[in-house]
Amino acid sequence: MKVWSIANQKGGVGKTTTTVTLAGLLAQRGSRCLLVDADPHGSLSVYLGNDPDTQQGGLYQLFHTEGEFQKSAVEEQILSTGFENIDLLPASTAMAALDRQMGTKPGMGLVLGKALASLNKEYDYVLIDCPPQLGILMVNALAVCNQLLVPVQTEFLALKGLERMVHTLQMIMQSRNTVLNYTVIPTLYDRRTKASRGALEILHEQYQDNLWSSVIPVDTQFREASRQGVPLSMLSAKTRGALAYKNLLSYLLGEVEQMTPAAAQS
Amino acid sequence: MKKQDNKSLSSVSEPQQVVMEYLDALLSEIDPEITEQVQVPEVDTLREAKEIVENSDVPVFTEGAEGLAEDEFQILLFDVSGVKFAVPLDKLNGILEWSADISPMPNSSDWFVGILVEREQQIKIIDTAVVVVPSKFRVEHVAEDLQKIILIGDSRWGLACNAVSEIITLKQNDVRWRKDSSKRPWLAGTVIEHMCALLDVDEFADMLGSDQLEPAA
Repeated sequence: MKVWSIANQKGGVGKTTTTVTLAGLLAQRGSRCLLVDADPHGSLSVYLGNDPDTQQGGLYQLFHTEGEFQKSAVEEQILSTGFENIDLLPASTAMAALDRQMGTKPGMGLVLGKALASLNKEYDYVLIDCPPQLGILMVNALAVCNQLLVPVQTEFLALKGLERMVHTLQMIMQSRNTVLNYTVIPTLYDRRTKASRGALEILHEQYQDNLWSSVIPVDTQFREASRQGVPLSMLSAKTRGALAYKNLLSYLLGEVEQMTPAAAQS
Repeated sequence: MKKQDNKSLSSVSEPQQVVMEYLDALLSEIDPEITEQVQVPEVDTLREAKEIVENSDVPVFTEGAEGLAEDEFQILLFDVSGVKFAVPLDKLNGILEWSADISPMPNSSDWFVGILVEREQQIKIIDTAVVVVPSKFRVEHVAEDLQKIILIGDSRWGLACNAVSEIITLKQNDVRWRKDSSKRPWLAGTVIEHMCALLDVDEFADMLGSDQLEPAA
């Protein structure tokens, strides 16, 4: 089981879109995916037809489980999405209170890791949609993942969020005595705008070693896919947004080499 | 409107430390069995070690070994490439000022700075940052940045460092002792309150003496 966390300490950069679209592509390849909605806003849950305001249990329940995690108890919190190979551990609005409830209780950053360990044989991939702020949920997501994906909107202000995210990651690695790979994914790229081109240039200069050298372009079909509650790759596989995520997935799975920056932007 | 001045910049590290303490608490894995296995140094040994330190060039020390409780021990904090490390005082053989008399050795490893002869003893000086700080986090330093040499392993080895700060007294449970030592045998544990890595000096000296030492990845 591989765990990918999708995080950025800035909202609106494409975290949920990245989570859903990659899950759709993985599921279409036959991989069993569990999506974890770790954002109390519950965008991912809403996308997949679940209401965080009325949701009982879900991820929240795992933080109130005492003792060892039993596989059956974790599975009880998981919902089927109606899409083959995609299940959901949903968010609930109550998750917003977790930081206040748990404070700095030792070990609370490892809850999700322990819960997911019981599902090791049930899923090939776990994708965690993170909240946009540092707190117990993000710490759990960063502590458990094998790979961190950081979508970054290609505009100047979003770069600050990326800087903060990388800094958080470094502190987590220091605390865990471990090294974690991260991949920066330029999103919402509009090559007609100077802001997009400029931001991408800065990303290439500052994050060369961790940057996926292609981009996710702006595509109105993403909005349509979320309106219908379907991963874009399942709704319209040939759109440029879906194709871009397909390329990203191939890169993440090590199937293709990085493109040169010039080729990526053409 | 409040004007930003240089004073406010000096407090930047404080919130970071708060965040780090928060992360360490959430991510702590406490293993009481390991804590129990750790040997408590004898008070006399500590006193002896402190005398060694006081006779060398160390700056100010504020605490003494006297009056230590049974589960207490002392460590010396030092900085290497922007990262804080510590050695237990009872494993410290002394501290020297950085010297221009260190003789580099041709064709030696990246981590080997050279040899310093002190009181007729040859001390092998190690670029500590190359051994213990992963290259990703390592701050590039020049020779002028190295200020002190920490002597370990019967003074056969000298660990180059940027600065020596202070001696502090810890209780056993102040340290998050390392469970798995296979990956970084030199790391005994971490001291969350002071955000530093505590060296296992014996393992470190053994590692330096072996032929298998690799730079930190």
